Amino acid sequence: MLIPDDVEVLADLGDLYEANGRTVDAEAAYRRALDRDADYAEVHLRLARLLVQRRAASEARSHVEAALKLQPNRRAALDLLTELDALSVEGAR
Amino acid sequence: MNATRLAWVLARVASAAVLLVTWGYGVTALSPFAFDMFVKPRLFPWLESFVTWHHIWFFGAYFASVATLVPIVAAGRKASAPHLRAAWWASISYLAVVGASAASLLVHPRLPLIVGGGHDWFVVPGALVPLLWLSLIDHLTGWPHASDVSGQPVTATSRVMLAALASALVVWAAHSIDQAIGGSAMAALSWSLARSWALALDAAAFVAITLTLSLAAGIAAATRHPVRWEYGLSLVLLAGGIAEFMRRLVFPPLMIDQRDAIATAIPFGVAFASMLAGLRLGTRRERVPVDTGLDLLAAFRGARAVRLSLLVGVPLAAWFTARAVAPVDWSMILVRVVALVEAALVFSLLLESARDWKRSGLTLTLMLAPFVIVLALHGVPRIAHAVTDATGDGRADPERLLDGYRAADPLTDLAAAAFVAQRESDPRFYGDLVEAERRFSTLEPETPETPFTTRRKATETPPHVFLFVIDSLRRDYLSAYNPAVSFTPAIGAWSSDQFVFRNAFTQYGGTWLSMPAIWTGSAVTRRWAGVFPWINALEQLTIDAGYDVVVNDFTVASLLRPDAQRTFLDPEVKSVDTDLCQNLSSLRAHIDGRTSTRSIFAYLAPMNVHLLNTRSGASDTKAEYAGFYAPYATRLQRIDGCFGQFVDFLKARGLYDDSVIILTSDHGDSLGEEGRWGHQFYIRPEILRVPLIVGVPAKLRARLTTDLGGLAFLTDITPTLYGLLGYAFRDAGPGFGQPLFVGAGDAPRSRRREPFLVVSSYGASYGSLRRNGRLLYAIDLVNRKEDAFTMSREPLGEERPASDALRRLGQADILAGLGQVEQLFTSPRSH
Repeated sequence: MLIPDDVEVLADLGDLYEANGRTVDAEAAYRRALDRDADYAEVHLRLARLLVQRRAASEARSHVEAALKLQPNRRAALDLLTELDALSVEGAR
Repeated sequence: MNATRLAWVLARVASAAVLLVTWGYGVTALSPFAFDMFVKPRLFPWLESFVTWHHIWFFGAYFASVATLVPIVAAGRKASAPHLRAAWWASISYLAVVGASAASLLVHPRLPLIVGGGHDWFVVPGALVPLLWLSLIDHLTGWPHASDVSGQPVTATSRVMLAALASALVVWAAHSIDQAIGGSAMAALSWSLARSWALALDAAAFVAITLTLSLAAGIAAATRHPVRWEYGLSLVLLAGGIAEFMRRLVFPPLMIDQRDAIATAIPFGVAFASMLAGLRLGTRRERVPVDTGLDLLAAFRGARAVRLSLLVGVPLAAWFTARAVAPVDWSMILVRVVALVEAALVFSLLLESARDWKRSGLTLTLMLAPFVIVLALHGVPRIAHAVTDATGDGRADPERLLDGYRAADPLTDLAAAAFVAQRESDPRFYGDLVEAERRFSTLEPETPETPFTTRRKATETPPHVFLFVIDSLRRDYLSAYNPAVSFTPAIGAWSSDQFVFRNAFTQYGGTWLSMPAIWTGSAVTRRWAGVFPWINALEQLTIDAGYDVVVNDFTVASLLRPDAQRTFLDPEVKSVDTDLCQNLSSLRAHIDGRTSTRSIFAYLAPMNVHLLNTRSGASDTKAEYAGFYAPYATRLQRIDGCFGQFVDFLKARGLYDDSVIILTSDHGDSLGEEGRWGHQFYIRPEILRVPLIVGVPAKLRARLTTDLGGLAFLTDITPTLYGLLGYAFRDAGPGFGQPLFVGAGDAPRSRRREPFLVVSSYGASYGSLRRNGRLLYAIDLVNRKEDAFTMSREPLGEERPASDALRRLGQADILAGLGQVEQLFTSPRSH
């Protein structure tokens, strides 16, 4: 796997992997991007979406909350949070 | 020195001082920038008085100089020797011509009429003419003693070499005392390398002077009048050295055009060297012959004990003087002058001592010194390179070692500029940058065809706006950005539920450009003032929204629209003394005293933590200041309390929930890190990073989103206020700021991939900020030096060698950015 060091390139790479269905590689690329810049709200959101897909709700929530701290009231983040709430209700049943 | 001689010296020094200040004022006016920065703000009250009463001062100087000529005039034109008759004629013509000038000035004072960018030949170089004239008279009376002396030994090179090496050692030792060694082994190794290199550089400088003097002596020896020639050549070398110092180190920071700098430096060098030579001849105790050219340089013929005391006293005095002038210094001009004078005096003292040196056995050893120095000059940086490569620790990197000198050891810095090969630079890029810099600095912006703003009227009553631009406030001194800070509790408490932008920068490292850029919400050129009233978007907003405007910002105060009503807070306080606590006290009084129901717009730019105040003011020694610059923290803690009281006041008056409060600074500062102080000329992380905290009314907050981790600039403030007030700030493209907030449903626009031009307000330094502010590439055009930083570390970032890719990208960004600014102010806009 190609491992660039630049945050934006890592974010692009994750996006590409995601588009090609390589979600594990995409997740790894997003995590690397966040290791280098934890204030990248967009990547928090993208990673959270991947985590929601594989039902890692708790970690996904932490990334959504991080995104919301950086981008308060961001609609996409609030939508994801609603989705996570629904997942947790479903899980409780 | 007897009383008559002392009176002669005092009269000459006093008249020279008046003439030199006159000339200096005229030189400052050559640069509109320097005039606007130093003269207009009335930083030096004595200067204002001097200019107003210049005609009287000039007359006084004339009178004092005439008093020194009385003996020559009294001797009459019938003096026996031809040179004394010539001196008499020169004195009489001086009395007539300079007297006529003094009388003319009494009727028509000229200095008060000079404006920034103006040139008065009577002042520059005219004010130097009397100095040259007096020097001529001094030489006519004193010089002929030498003309009869022939066969005197020319300068003994070994004797001068001994004096030079001893001088290097004395100056180096004096400057080493100030250099902290550091705790770790690596720090000690870096220190040792740095000081070894400094010693080699200092010695190289002195030896180069020795060899130049020896060369002059050698040339002189081949003539029929060796002493006369050697003296003349020494004088020329001294004049050249002074002129070059002015051209390279004094005029560039004052932004004086290169051609003006050359044309001004040469007459100054000649006049100043001649003046010193004249004083030297005039103060000799006896009319002894001038024995060599060194007579000009070896100024102290006192007893040995006196010379030894002076050898200790001069470095001590230099140390104290440098400390005293540092707070008001500009690009190290004054500390460099102090260092040069110190070196010259030490050399002069040791040169006199070396006259008594008789042993010839060491001559060969001394002659080997230049070779040893050359070896050291080459060897030390190679060792430093090797250490850096082996350890991966950048502290021993030669460029970083050299950088350390720049602030801490001005003499070594000067020597480094002469002896250390600079990185080979791309001549085409620098040629392009010099041209772009010239346009950026001299471009008189055209008045835009349309204003920068639209006037779509907002429907709601605007919120109150309180904009605090605290000069030189560093974000790592605020608890909102640095958890180690405990001395800003009020700002910390207020900011806890506000928008704290984590990645905010100024594009301008200095108040002069940064402050107007906040008002316009756009890029500016160095000559922004001419067009400022037409591009001042923030003022337009306050007018359109019908604000009750309260201002305390001296940078733009005189350029605000005269037809708009506003209150200028504390106008009697000088700009450098502006105090947030006093401003807020006056603002509270204004709010309580007004009858208007209009919303308030307040723009305050206090100077509490500016270097001019922190370096000269008192400080507390609280434990919580450990790790911080205490005078800065002391003042910040005080204004933090005042800020907190003001927030409480707004709450008590029911205004807080309807107020936008913005806290920021116009730029950061270097607070002694790695020996650097100030912000005027560098482009460095700690200067570009700024705090930016935006508090909006709760009712608005839920309707907004932003990106606190994205790039934010000071130029975004005005567009943001437009947005918050419901107005539209036209997106006019590159060079303009953008609103920091978007509607809650929208994704904030990302600027992560765009490069941004950054500019030093006062020096020819430019940079490119890339990758969401994580990379900074900077060029210092004066020193042809590049710097690259990653911003990983607060506050200094991490300096590292620029990769070829970053260099190419950064250089292209800088030229493109300057081109955009030029286009912004030369192309008609149709937005």
